[in-house]
Amino acid sequence: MAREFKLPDIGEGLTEAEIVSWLVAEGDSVEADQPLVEVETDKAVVEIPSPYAGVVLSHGGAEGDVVAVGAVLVVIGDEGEGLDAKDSSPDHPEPAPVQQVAPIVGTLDEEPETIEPVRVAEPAGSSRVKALPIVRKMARDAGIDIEAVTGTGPDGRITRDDIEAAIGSAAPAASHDGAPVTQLPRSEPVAPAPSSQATAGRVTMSRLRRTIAANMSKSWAEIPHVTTFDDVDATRLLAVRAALAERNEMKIPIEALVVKAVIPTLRAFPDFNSTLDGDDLIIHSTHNVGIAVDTPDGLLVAVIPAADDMTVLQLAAEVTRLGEGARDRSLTPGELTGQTFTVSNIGAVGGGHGTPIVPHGTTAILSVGRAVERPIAANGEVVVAPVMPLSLSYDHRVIDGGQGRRFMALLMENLEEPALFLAD
Amino acid sequence: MFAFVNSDGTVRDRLPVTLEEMKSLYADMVEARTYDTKSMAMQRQGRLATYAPFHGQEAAQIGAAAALSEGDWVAGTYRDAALNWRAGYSWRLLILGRTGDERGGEVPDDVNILPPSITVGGHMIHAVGLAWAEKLNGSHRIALTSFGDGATSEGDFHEAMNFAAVYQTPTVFLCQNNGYAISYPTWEQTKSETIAAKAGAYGMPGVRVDGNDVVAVLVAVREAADRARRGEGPSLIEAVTYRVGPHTTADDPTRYRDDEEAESWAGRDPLLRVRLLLEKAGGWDETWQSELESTSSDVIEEAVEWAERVPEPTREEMLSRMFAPEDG
Repeated sequence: MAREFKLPDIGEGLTEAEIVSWLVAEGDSVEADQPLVEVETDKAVVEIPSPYAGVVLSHGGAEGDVVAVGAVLVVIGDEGEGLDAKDSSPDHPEPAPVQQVAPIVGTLDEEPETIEPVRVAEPAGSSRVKALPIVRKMARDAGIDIEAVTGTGPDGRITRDDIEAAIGSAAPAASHDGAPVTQLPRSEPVAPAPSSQATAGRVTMSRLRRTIAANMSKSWAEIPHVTTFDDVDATRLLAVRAALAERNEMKIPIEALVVKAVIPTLRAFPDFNSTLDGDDLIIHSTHNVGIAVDTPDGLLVAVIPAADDMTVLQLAAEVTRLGEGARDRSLTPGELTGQTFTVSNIGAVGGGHGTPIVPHGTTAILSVGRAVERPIAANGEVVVAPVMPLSLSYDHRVIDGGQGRRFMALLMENLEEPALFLAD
Repeated sequence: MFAFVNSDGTVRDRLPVTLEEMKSLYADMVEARTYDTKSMAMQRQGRLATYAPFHGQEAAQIGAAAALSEGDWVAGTYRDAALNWRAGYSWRLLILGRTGDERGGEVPDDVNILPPSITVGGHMIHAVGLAWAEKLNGSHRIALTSFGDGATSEGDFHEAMNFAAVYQTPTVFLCQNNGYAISYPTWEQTKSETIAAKAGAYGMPGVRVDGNDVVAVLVAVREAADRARRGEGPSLIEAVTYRVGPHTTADDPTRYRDDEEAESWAGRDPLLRVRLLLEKAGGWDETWQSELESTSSDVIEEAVEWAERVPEPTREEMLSRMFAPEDG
């Protein structure tokens, strides 16, 4: 009879382990307590001995795979048995119920008999769902009804993550009183977090927020940032945008034009579309442009892969699609990773200049503020024109100040005269 | 350092034990190691909670327990399963306790052993109290308390040692100095040259013995117990040994000690030296070894099977053993 062996918590409070090496191959026999697999946890590399004697029918993961505590690590069957014979028998032989009299010591040896478990009355107000007291408190503090939460832990136990997820989905579509704040793991925040409200108490940050914090720290700690600022006269850019929108009867997000203007600039300065890897600079041949999207849950960076092959109209459609997908959270993880350069349009929430943080794994990020009418000097006269603020942060290990200014100058030339990039 | 049997099985002095006693001590150490190995495996299989292995410390524990008399008290730590078992605590209950069932700590009435103490050092004070009570009752029972080197850095050690000496309680303090307080080496915990030296400050005798020599431990504890029984007060024994395995199943010793150190102690294994000694004396052969291993395995497997068949306690039982019955 095939039996599943689920990865136990072999440390204290572990959630997962990585399979280092299998010591018994699939199809091979194993003795009880014979070393079966070596796994690495947060704490140590440990050898797990086989809980049963038999034949290893299947491994629950390959070497290098991470297995969650409670997930099937291995299936062991009798000699000559196949995988299809697997049944759902428990990990250990079900202990036979034993008649329990007075003290257990010395009275339990023989002849088990079935007894009905004692039904303990539920104290008023207590909950029947399984959850640790700390998790219950977390739910209470957040105003979440723990009875309504689906547990994903062992035996349906409700975990901290479940409560965090519940808090996340219950959060109101709060207006952003500052720059965009959050995004998914593996990509980076592009703007500073909003100033903290004066609150009483202490709140453990969500897992998402903690991931962002870790990524921010990594970028900030490893990348020497330089930010260069400028303003561009957006008169022609806005005219082109309006004309395209009218002719094609579609919305043309400003990002579509900015991306289109950025690409020839990146071609001229490939270091801005690269990854620093140790002593090497990996220069990317394609331009996967990340677009920052402001959503109720926070900022997400959606990625337009190979943006260089697209027309402005295609870019416009893609930016619109990614924006909607980010807001209703229907984007796949693949659509949220892999940017080689990032554009953050903070114009939607106002925004002038900023000092965006360069996402780890890239070398630069451009932040675009809202174009507002301002007096500017033109041909010796003061005129009023829509002025768009630009902020470019880059990795100073890779890019010098002069190069940063030259990139900015070419980008401004493109944005001020769209004919220069629309032909691409 | 007080010792009889060298690591290579040769002896320094005439042994104060018979060949049969020696074989019996060896058999006990084999059984204890079988339990330890099985417990480590079971923890990795999710069948036991965190486990603190005593591999390498069998002689210190079996030797000490063998020196005790019927009715003597034992107050040990979470790493003292071999000591507790040899003193009368069943494998069944020890395993039951490690499965997470607190009833494993419910010691039978006729067994004077405290449940394994998880708190480092607190039980030394209990042992002094038990010994004092026996003294006040005029019995000849003594109390032995076992603890690690780390516990001697706790305030409880001072309280227990001082009180025991002042009131001349019949207490034997047995420190299994296994080199580490979790990851912290002994030499970084104390400026005293030895732990035994601390006894002098409290006004009691202190002796340092080879903790991997079962005979040395047996003799030292027996002498200390005899003193205590004669009303001459407490003693401190420092048994110098080595924790071969991790602190617990949640520890990785490779992070704080090097392989060479562990290997150097492998040659000082407490079982190996007795086996070599017995072999020279004609008291050991492969057949007997196989028998011992097979019998030990059967005994431990039976205890495991028993412990895993015990039904889970009810919720009421979680609190029902907090206090003694009112009419008691």
